[in-house]
Amino acid sequence: MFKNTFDNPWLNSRLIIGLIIMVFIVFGSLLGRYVWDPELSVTTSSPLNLPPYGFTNLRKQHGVLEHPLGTDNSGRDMLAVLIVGTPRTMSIGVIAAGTGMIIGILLGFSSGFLGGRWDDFVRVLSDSTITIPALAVLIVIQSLFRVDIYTMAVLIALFSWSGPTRYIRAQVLTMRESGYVKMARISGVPTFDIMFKEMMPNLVPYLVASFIGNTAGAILYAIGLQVLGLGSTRLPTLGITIYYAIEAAALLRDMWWWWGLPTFVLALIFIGLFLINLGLDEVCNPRLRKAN
Amino acid sequence: MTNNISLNVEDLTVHYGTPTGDILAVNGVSFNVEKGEALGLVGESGCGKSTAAYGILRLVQHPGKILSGEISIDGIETNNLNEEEFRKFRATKLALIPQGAMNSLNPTMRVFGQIKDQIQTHEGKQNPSELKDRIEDLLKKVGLPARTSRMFPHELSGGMKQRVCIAIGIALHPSLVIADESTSALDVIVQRVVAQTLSHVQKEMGVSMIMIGHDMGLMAQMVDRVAVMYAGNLVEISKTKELFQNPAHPYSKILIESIPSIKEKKPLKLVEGITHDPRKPPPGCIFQLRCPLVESKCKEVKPELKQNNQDSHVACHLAN
Amino acid sequence: MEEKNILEVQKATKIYNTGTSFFAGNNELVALNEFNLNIPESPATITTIAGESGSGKTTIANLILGFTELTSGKILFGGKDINMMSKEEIFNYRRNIQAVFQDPFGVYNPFYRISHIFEIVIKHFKITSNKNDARELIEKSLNVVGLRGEEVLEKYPHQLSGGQRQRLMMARVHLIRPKIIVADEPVSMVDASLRAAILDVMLKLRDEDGISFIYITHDLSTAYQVGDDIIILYKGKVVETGKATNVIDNPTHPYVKLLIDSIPVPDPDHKWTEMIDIPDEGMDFKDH
Repeated sequence: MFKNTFDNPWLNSRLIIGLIIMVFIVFGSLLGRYVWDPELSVTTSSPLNLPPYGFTNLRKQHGVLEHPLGTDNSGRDMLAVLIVGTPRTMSIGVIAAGTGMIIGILLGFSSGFLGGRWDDFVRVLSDSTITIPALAVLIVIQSLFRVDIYTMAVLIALFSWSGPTRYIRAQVLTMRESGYVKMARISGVPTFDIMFKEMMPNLVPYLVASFIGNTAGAILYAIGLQVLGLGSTRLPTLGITIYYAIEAAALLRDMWWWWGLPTFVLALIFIGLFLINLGLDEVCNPRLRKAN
Repeated sequence: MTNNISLNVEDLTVHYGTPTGDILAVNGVSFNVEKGEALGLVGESGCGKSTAAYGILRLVQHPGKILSGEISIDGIETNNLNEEEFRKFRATKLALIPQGAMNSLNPTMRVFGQIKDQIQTHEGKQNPSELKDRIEDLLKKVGLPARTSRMFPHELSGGMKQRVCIAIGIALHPSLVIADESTSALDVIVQRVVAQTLSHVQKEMGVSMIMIGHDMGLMAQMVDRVAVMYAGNLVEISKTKELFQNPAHPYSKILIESIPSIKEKKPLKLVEGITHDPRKPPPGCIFQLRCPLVESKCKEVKPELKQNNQDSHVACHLAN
Repeated sequence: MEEKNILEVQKATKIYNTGTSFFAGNNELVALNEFNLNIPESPATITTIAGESGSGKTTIANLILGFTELTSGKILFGGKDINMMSKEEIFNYRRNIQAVFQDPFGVYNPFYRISHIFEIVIKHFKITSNKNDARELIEKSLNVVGLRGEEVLEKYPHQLSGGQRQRLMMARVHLIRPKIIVADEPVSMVDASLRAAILDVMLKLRDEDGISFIYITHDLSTAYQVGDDIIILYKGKVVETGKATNVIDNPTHPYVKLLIDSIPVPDPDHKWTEMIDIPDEGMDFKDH
């Protein structure tokens, strides 16, 4: 153990635990449909209001093995809901973060490296975008236009590109003054090669960390909208499930599994992403590495 | 033990653990420093001089570990003190001016506050007007005007910052000051001022000093004796004049010869760095792989540090 | 004069606008003031530019290498003003003016192995397209600095010592064979005992390959040993020039005298005589 963890910053405990959590969630959501029937996430597929196996609800009904995590008041099986809803929630995060990242790379790189008027323009644009209250605007758009989740993801991306842009620009500004970039310049390396062959490989840990952070942020926006009832209602997501639970007064009816299980999965996702981010921080920032 | 010895180090050994074996950073080093003496500790990068200093102060951090060493300061054996006692002892009797000290001054605090911090942390709250006099006196000792105390670090030049660090180092009247590369990042003229300040302070206050560095010219100007280290071992310790005129150890000879001169143009002497694996030093003399005079005995038996003449001790089979 | 100059720096001036500055309340910092330099086509020479920090010597390196622009004055390469060069001419300029920098670590991209620094040069300066020829040329250059390809090419920068890395930088410039090399404090971060190896390569390149050096340093002892000519700068202005040995043996300007006097002499019988104060720190040292 000592041998492996000694010099390798990638093998720190936060990163590993975070990765384990996320791998569990990703595999669970991808392979879950082969283990449990996803059709059970449709309404009236199952008996109503059953608690998870081993518990009793207010009506003195017991949980059954066919629906191990219980059901909601429309007959949706909770396990199926989790299996179907989690990948949908995750994909919103990934699409939004991915789009934001691509914009961030293009704008951040070019403005950091080229400087001048283009840099001024990008900076003003990204600084003003940050001040727009994203959630408020998204709420308005959603209540008027009821878009599907993929369009919602792109809309979220339009508000979250400024973070990566500024971050990448800052890293590029630092790297531009580094010795090896100077070396590349006097070695006749053209600008494009300097950006993508010299700087980019060293930026990868930062890019990954930024992506993870943005994914968590995008999921948060999406949840925010869904919990308010503004998500798409056709297929379940974790957020909309919580919305239904609140609408149906699940708290009063002591149906803790209805809002509790999606919340738990969301918490796991955020904790997992956060830990990965902390772990990557140690890789990027050598000073944070703890000597055990 | 005679009582004009300020510091005595006996068999100090510090290793750094790595996955492929321990690096023998300091390997059984013994020396002493007399009261009021300035001892220079020289050697190339990686020879263990800074590690030795940190070993004396018990500031070695993981993965380094102190394996052995009896250190006594002013006659008190530090191994007999527990953690708390040693910390107090270290704070008041020993001072360290670390490498790059001038870059670790708190950028948000004026000079006055930083010196006050140092004093009050270890001596408790002070009478304000006495404190002010004491701090101004300290600054005067290092050649800085009184109004320096009201300035922030970013308003000071490199030389001034370094002198503030010296002032902080001597604020608690230590018995021994260890100055690690105090002048290495400075310009020539500023270096002279700081070096002269350090010497002046040392002589005026009568403290013992260990000056760690690699500039042999500076050593000639500032210290009474010089200890030469190579790859974790002490190979020679001689009075300054003796070292420069008659270096006893072959490595010392190389060090002296590679000093570029500004008196005459001579062909440059090419030299290699530490060539052996620091985890597996060769059996016998540590310098055998680079020594121009190596013999078979050197490869088998490790030479002890023995008195060569009245002004020098050397660890070499071929000396005497 | 019949003598042709490859590089001519004429009245180069660089002024930085600092806004809020510590320096005497001005908003401007004159980093370099009407600096002149001529490097002849032949014979190859080592011209030392010496000074302390703030003297402007690094600014000269940045100007000549094109990392920053002149406020006024001209730099001519082969008689042509570099600000008016075509893309091809600039490429040629870059090929013929190379550099060795102070920090032997930052100049290596930590993502790539050592071979990368040679590969990008061979590729972009079109030295050869034949892989075997390339490997041979690299090996020759490595041998000049006392290294072998099999020892170093496949390693990562952090696996080598500072001295080795700096020698590799010298091997790199040898491979390129420029007309001029700007060496900006090439040995100040290298151990004292290993400096001779780097300086020796400089002399070899001058004598065997006809490459001129602009050797920028604050260390007058090495300047004395390797420099042919010397220019001493103080706060952006030239205070003394001449043959290195003459200037250092018999300085005339008071600053230069003080500078040389402050070099620690490795002779315990020759100590500094007086305690000095730093000239013109912007601080009034009279109240002691």
